Amino acid sequence: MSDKIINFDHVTFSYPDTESPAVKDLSFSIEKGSWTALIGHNGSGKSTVSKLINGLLAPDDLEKSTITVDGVKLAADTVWDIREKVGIVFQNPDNQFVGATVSDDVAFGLENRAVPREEMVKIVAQAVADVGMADYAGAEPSSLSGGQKQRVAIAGILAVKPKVMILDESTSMLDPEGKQQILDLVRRVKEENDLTVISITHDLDEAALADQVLVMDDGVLIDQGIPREIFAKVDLMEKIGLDIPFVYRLKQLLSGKGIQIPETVTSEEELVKSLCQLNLKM
Amino acid sequence: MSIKFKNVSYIYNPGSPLEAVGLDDLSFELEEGKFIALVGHTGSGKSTLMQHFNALLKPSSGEIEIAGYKITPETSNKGLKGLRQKVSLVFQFPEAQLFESTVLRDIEYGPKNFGFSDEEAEKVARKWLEKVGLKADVAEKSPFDLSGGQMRRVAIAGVMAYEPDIICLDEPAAGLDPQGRIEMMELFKQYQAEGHTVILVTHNMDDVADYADDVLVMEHGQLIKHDVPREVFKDRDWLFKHHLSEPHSSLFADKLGKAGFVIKQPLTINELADEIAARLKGVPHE
Ligand SMILES: Nc1ncnc2c1ncn2[C@@H]1O[C@H](COP(=O)(O)OP(=O)(O)OP(=O)(O)O)[C@@H](O)[C@H]1O
Ligand SMILES: Nc1ncnc2c1ncn2[C@@H]1O[C@H](COP(=O)(O)OP(=O)(O)O)[C@@H](O)[C@H]1O
Ligand SMILES: [Mg+2]
Ligand SMILES: [Mg+2]
Repeated sequence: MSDKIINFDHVTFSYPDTESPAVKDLSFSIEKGSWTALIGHNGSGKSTVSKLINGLLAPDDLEKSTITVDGVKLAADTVWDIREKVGIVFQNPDNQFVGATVSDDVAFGLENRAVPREEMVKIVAQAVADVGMADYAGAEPSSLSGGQKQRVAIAGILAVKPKVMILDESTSMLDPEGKQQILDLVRRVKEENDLTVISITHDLDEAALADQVLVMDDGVLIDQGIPREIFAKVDLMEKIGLDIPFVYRLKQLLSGKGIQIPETVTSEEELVKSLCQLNLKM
Repeated sequence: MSIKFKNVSYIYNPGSPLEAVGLDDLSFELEEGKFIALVGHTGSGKSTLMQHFNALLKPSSGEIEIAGYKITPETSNKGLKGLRQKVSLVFQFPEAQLFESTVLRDIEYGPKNFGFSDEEAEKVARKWLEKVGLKADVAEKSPFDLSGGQMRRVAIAGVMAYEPDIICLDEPAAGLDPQGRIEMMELFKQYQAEGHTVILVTHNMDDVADYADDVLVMEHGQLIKHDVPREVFKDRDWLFKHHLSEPHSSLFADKLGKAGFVIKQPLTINELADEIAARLKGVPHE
């Protein structure tokens, strides 16, 4: 067994009646237990990739394209095995609420997995409390605020703990503090259970904390690597409609004013240190 | 003219077991023609407040004056079409409201509804399609075949196309890519500069610092502050107490200060870079 939990090999996918593929000849792999940030401009193919991973969409030609998840090769007869392993929190939570109450909704994924009733009740209550929604356990999902809906959607996946958790812009409507809490929670559950996380995000400060960054541009994977390598490519990032994290942006502005900060400085703490040293030398 | 709220409260599902306070006795006045940011935690009442600006929700008690209309709990839905043309709301998750068979038709819907001719409606639809950063060839696609961020842009174009005097945008930038976010914020700013009022919900304090003239802060259905950005962000203890975040540059300046490199509190990254440079180059501090 390799420690690659996801492997894409020359994957091409086109939506029906479109001229060009939404994902073109994509090859990459994701290490088990890692946190991957998938970034790219709107329409670059990120959500399409997530749906290919769990078999909601299938490559144009299964002969030429291979997708493997946790050792299982995606095919018509394995798609259900793969869906057991992969959970997605979709971009718009309204699209995935099925329960009449918050608790029912969070329970839904477990019901499908034949978890005994007593245990289920416990897991659901825990997940709902973990995302800070205990007061709303009996509420109707449709009556929640946008950020509350996102919390509930995340509780749904945390209750199931699939081997691969894909978060598609799932914290975009949370306030900064709430977002941090939820990301810390996901990270804790991931560490405790040795899960793999793929986070699709436009928040580059969040992406900067990933183990690996995959960069999509018009259906093509144009770069991949550790955050510090990726975000050092300021020009590339801007060319494809992205931005760079705060630290890199500030370094760039300072450099324009004749203040050079070493390339090895990639976090706020390092930048503070570096600036203080410069200040002392004055 | 100004927008006035007088002791406005709103109760969801009054009298039922699901009764919940949405707005709790809000009074404030907004000057028209400004860029107003509305901030606060998830569930603090921002979206509830936004829906009062064009009377999609009517106060349970209190009174609202906006765009020449007076809205009270007794106001009937009749005769509100004129208000909705002047004051329009882009919902949170507006993509959920797309319904036409093509993108172009979806954007034309609002203008047609407010009396634009077919020809005019198509013209403004194409214009706004481009303004929100979509390629012309998207026009004939089904809106449901777009990516999340593309749908968001279509929904925004659909409201801006009939150019309401007051546009209320509920977290419009969530889900937009970084450059798209900046382009849209610039678009809203330009719209305001052309003589409209922009009211925008956001969690991005950098956007508040960069774009807003005026800030409303909500907490548990109450308005807990109404001031210009610089004043709102000045009182760090108050922000901390209310679990509110600060512009990234202010936070960074604070870290610098704690490490002994003290500079004046900046609101934007440009101010931050200027302050640091001035300090390092020994330019005397004002
Ligand atoms: N159901 C569909 N039918 C046809 N084309 C589609 C469909 N869904 C997406 N597309 C197109 O495929 C491309 C990739 O879309 P995708 O949703 O994967 O983008 P994304 O990177 O997730 O974007 P965003 O950041 O806006 O969510 C886009 O050009 C989009 O218009
Ligand atoms: N239709 C509804 N029925 C009952 N409660 C609601 C409804 N819509 C919103 N609420 C509640 O009102 C409060 C404020 O919601 P909202 O205005 O959407 O918050 P925000 O936009 O600040 O995140 C939340 O606690 C939410 O659950
Ligand atoms: Mg997407
Ligand atoms: Mg809201």
